[in-house]
Amino acid sequence: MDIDIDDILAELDRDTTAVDQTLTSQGNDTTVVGSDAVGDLVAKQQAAAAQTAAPPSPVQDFNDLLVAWRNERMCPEILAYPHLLMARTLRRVQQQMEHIECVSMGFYEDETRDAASAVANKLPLLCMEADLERLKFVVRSYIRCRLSKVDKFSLYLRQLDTQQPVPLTELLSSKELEYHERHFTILLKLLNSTILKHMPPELQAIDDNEGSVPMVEGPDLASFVFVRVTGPDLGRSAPDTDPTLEINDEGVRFYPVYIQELREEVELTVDGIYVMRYNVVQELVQARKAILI
Amino acid sequence: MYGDLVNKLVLEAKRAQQLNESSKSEHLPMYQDDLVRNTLREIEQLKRDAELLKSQQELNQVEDKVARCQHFVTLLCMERNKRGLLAYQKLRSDTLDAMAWNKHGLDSVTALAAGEGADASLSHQEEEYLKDYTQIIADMKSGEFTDIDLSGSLTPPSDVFIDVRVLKDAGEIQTEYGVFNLIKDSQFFARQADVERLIQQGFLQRL
Amino acid sequence: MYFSIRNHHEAYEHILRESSSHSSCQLVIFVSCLNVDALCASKILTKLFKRQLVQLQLVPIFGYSELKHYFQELDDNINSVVLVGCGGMVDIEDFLEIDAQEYLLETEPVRKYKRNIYVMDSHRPWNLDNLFGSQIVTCLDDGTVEESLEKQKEAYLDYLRMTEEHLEDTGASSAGDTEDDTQDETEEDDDSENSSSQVKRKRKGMATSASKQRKKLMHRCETLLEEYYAQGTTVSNSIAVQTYSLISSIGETNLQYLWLAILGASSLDIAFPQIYERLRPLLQDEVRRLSPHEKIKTPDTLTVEIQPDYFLFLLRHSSLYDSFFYSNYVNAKLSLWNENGKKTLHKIFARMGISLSTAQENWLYMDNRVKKELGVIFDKNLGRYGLEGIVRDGFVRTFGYRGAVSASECVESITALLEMGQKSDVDKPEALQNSTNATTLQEGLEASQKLAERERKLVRNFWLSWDALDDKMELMQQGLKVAQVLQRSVFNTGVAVLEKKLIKHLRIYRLCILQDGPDLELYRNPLTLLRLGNWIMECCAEAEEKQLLPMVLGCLDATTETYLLAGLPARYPRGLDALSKKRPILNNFSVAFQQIATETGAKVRIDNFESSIIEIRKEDLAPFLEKLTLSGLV
Repeated sequence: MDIDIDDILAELDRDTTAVDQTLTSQGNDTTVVGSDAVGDLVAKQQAAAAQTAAPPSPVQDFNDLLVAWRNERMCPEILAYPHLLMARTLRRVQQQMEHIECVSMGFYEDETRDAASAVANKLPLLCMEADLERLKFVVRSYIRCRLSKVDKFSLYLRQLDTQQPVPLTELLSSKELEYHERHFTILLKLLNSTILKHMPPELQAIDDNEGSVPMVEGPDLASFVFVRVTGPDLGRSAPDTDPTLEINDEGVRFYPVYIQELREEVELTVDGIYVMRYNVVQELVQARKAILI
Repeated sequence: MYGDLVNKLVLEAKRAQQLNESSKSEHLPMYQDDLVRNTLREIEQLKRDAELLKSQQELNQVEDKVARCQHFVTLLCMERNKRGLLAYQKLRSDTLDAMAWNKHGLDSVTALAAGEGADASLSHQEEEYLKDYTQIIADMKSGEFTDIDLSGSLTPPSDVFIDVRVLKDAGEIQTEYGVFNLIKDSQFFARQADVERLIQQGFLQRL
Repeated sequence: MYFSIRNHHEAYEHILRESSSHSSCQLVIFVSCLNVDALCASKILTKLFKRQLVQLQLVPIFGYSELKHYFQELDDNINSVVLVGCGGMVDIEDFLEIDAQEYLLETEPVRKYKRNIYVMDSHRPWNLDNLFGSQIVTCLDDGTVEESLEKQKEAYLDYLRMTEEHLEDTGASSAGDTEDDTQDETEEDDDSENSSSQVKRKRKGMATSASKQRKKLMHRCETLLEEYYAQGTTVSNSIAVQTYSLISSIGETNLQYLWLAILGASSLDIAFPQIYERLRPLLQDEVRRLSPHEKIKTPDTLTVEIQPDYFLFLLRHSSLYDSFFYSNYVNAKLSLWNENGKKTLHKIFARMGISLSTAQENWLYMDNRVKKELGVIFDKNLGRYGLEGIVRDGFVRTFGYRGAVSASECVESITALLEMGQKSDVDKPEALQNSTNATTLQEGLEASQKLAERERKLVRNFWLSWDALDDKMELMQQGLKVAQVLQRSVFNTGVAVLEKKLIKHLRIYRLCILQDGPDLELYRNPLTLLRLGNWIMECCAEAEEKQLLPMVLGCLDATTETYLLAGLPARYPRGLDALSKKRPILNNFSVAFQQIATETGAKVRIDNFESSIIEIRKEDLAPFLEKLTLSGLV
């Protein structure tokens, strides 16, 4: 199906919001927020598919988590919070910790076993622990990365909130929202009490964008990122399910994108690695058709 | 010159930032109360100047480019001062944030108060800010994220068991996983997760 | 109880079973920090346990009082304690105030205690209470018990049995008596600040109603046991090699462990050469067994080879001349401390066809021809001067392309690190001394603080040596430099001592007290003092043909107003002991010191694990030595 996405890209270039173009992904993870024709269509398709899909396996979840982590670290803006994925992951972490505790309590109370076999049982325990540590590290790094972005763009997010009808709850988890709110409050209190209240009235705002230098800093969507094209749903679904995927003459599948400044249309082939400005591939990344590396 | 004072503030903030980056630890120099106050006074002065110029302009009703330029420059200076002040404060508060994450809560307040001398390097409002922020962090870490320990190490875990050496005598320390009897200059072979807290708090040194 | 060498692995397995909890640390290893052998042994042990993922804590300690202090602070999680290089000669249950009943967990089917103590110590004589009388303490023995302690074992068990019977018979009256007696005894112990009680006399007074025969038997046992304890101390084996045999019994030998065992054994060579000679062939066999067949050199290979080793001081890391000049062996044989000796040395070089300038070049840059033919040259020429014993087979380890170091050199480096720390620390003690002298308030307090500080430094040096053993060549090189500094100062002090004839010949022993000198602060460390003592002893052993006398070496510490006294047993001249099958000469000073201390009431600190090294107050020195001379205990 040939869809003209020029208008979408034009929209992207015009305003620098990140929220309203959040497209869906397959599965029960993120929610559907698309507001344009394309978004609706794709959303409906995938929502239908979602109802018949099974819950993702732990391995799949782990890979999704890694993808989300990598994306988040490389991306100049905050990506959507994968609510369900995180909930599942955290639950699994807790279960695993209980399990390890049980095993480690259990085996060493049994003293009739000889030393050699008791020690031999330690090795699988060690592997489990090491793996759990790694997972915890990934989650920790992911959340910390997001928090640092929240801190960096806190004024910007507030602006988003007031401008868009769509709440921030899609972008941030409830805890992150709370963090954002509270941190902003105390920071404002600090800045107000030390500096801003001593200022003449026209300079007392903290988000004043009319002076010579704008005070609110948004994410730099034009920064370069490395991107790898995976295909629909991170390469897990068959290529024909995605209407935006085209086939060229040699039978290779690709996504067409349009680079505004060069006025050039580029073909991003599946499994290809490119270096582009983020705004060019933003939609693809958010649609889980490409990942940042 | 207008803006010189605030330059000093900005330079100091930059220096502190570079120091922290290179030494990978957070130190905060003293809060330059005088400079800040002087800068604010300068802004007030500038404001008065600007108003004076504006009223003069209105009186003259002449398109005096020089006057306009004067006015404009005054406004610019005011803005620059404001930017400098805010940058200074923001850099300090960023350092405080980093401290709060690294030093696990209330330790940071006591460490600063005790360690850097009786004349604390924080202004009163900064201390409050730090307290509030550590509370925010504590709340963030609780709940679903308790197991993850958000203020833990941000380097990928390598070994499950590591060698650590004890730097200070601290008697028995109870951690969630077990008890450690910290005798100065003894060496432990223990699980990384257990001792990480203690490493961050400075009791242990990783080998 | 004790385990013979065959059964050491049982102790290991027991520890594994009991202390490998995954969630808490249950094993503590206490190591004597002035003992290279113990250092190597504990390194082998920790490597072994780390492989098995057992969490452990390693605590280096300086003396008995520290041991007691830390032991009593251990928390309840700990159920295995290993003592390496210490604890064999004192009654541990008594010293650490362990109540066996309190430790008892279950009695069926086998007695189980909440904490077990394992002792790996090669100091002899064993304390018999540890060996035969305690269920909590397990001694890992190297065969001493089976070979030589049969009679003592019988005597001990008989004594125990008989006193129990005796107690049953006599009942309340003797109980009252004995309580007073034991109290007296403990007071006496406290007076002399002696923390090791060698004979635990359970019942001092005999009740009247005991049967005469039992009395006689008990008396005989007592005398036997007393003789056993009074015979003098020695070291019977290398703990590192013992640990290595434990490893080979569980089948986990590798070159790393073997190298550490070699180091441990080599460290004993200076003071107890017969042990090293005995162990050397075994170690050589192991090296041959474990060495890989291909001799390809890559940057990562760590090989151990058997190469000729010389009794020269750090041959590969200094010049030929220096290594001859500072070697204990050559010094002793040629009396290098006087002018004649130096001339003889020059003559030797001339004979060997090595010019003095060549000899004074650094080994690395020396003429290759000379290096290759060194063995031959030595063979031909040194016999004339009585130095043929200078060559024997030793172990050399190569670290890829980083260099090679022989076992003896390595031991020198580690010992120097233990004594001195890093070179940068050499100047520090003086600085400390100068600054604190100015602010001396209370002498006693300052002294104890000073001592405590010094002990802390020793523990830090322990970790330095520990890291050096991790194949860190830079630390090893530093240690070598420090060793050279130390040996030079020992040489200078020794020469001064011999020239000024500071060695007084008292009938039964020789005495040498250092009151001043440029390097006096160095000798506050027991190891350095022993190093000086060894140097002097070797010289004296060569000089004295008729009578081999032990020696008491003392060094004044002006800041704490104490003397550090070391009692050194007599020594056979090198080469002689290998030929003669005589028994090793025992060090009687430990017993003598304690006894004299109690008799004179001198303020003495016997805290060191080597009980022949004590600290005594300045004022008490003279009467102490007088008593010692007159006592005839040595």
